[in-house]
Amino acid sequence: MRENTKLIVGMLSPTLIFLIFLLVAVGWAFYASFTDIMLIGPAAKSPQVIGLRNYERLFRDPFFYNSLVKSAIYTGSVVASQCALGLFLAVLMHHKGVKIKSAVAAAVTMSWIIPDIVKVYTWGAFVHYEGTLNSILRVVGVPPVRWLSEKPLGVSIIGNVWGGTAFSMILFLSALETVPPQFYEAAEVDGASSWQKFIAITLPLTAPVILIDLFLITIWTFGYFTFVYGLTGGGPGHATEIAPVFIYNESFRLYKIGYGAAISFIMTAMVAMACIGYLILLRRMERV
Amino acid sequence: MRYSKTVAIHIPLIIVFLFALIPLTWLVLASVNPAASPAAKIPSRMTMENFGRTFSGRPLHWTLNSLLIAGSTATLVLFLSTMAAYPFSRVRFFGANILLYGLVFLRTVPVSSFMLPIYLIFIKLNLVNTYLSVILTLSVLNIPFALLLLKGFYDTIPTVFEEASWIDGCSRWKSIFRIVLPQCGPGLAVAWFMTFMFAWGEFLIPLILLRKIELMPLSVGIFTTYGEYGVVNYGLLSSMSLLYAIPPILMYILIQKNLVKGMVGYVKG
Repeated sequence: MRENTKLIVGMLSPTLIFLIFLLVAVGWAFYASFTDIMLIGPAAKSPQVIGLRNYERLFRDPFFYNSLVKSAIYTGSVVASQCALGLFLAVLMHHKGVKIKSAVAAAVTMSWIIPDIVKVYTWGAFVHYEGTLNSILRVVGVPPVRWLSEKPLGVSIIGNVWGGTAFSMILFLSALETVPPQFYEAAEVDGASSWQKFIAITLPLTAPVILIDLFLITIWTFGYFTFVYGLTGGGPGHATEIAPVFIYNESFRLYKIGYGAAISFIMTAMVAMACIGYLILLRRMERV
Repeated sequence: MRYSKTVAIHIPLIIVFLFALIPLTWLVLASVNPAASPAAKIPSRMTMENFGRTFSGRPLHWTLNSLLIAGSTATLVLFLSTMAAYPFSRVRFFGANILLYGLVFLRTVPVSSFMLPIYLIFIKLNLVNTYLSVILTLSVLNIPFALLLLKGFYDTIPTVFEEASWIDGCSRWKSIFRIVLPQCGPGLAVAWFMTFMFAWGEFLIPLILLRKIELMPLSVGIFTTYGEYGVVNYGLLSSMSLLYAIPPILMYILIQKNLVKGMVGYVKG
């Protein structure tokens, strides 16, 4: 027993020190959110405690509400599209006799697996005024559009669907493997249509995985900084300033780092609630 | 299957295939085009000129920075989580469950939630603009994934061999090195490579912590080059991006078959 205790302490403590460091950082930032600390200038050296003023300001800041609205539109659209498209692709690819399954899977996965900044750069060039998207549209007879200034949120959403759907697709493909084929065979004997099979068999049996997928991609998309920041920087104006980009811009472009910390805590609280919901879901499912 | 149904299944798949591939095709074509632009066209002259330039000056420097950061992070994380995962798999101890849920929680929270805490603590410690700050941060953020992955591997190894070795007078540490670790070689490799990949692709953490051009990794370097001096050098950027994407693509090809299994494990924790 004593040997066990020594073993646990010895093996865990280096990792625990790392995790405690992160907790200390979070605690320190929480303190900083009650000060007027700036990135540069006198308030960078000796910040003053200003109590709840950052938080008060937050709830009067129209750009904070703007970031919540943009985040809601962005996250909602991306999650709905990725989940629906991922499920659609997985169901199609699950059919017997689909020859191009691995080619489609590879192409979709490739645009997911490449580093974030490569996605940003490639997508940015694709929607560029002289880029591929406008060339394709010109062939169909649609006049070219300045996507990044006219439809910035739209191209950010579609870009994220392009670069992120693979996660849901792969998850659903693996979930479909677990559905016993006899169920479909029995339904076919009864003369069920594809749609009926989907509603009566596929959907109920993959529902837990769909729920997991929805939770995870909602959390990740809400907190996904790189794609939108790299593509638009939050602009033009504040048109694509989703929550993480808003935090970055306030802290590092406008130097209001104490204020940024306050926003960061509001955002993290929202994320944490979603994560706890996810953990509860996982626990429930293990019991089932 | 009826013919019409086969067609109905294939048409959307082909559309998605093209949608996924067209931007990537542009990237490949632009990387060998010395006069690349955002426009989609087959280059009139294909050269390796752009790639040549990525192997000198700043791009080379950034690549080395990325290798250093990702390699150190992966090694540190592997070292820490190889040890820390063992008690979770083999010993029942107080708080194990809470810690495990804490790790799943931490793995689920997006990096951007930690952007301000990380920046503020390293300002306080005077470690901004050091590789150490980035390596420490990326290690903390990647420990949960590696630890849970390795715990899963340990769980699959029967305890009888270890128990037999204890009876023969082997110490617990020795049994870990002689019996457990050799059996989970693939697990250790996957943990190292996956952590390498996460650290390799990370953008936000080095963006805030490394504010000097010579310290930047490739992600921030590519971002900084984009739009520098008002003119975008699409050829150079494309070849840099392509080289930068090679490790994850190789990784995907290597673990393709296990990806689905691995991801289900990832989600279930």
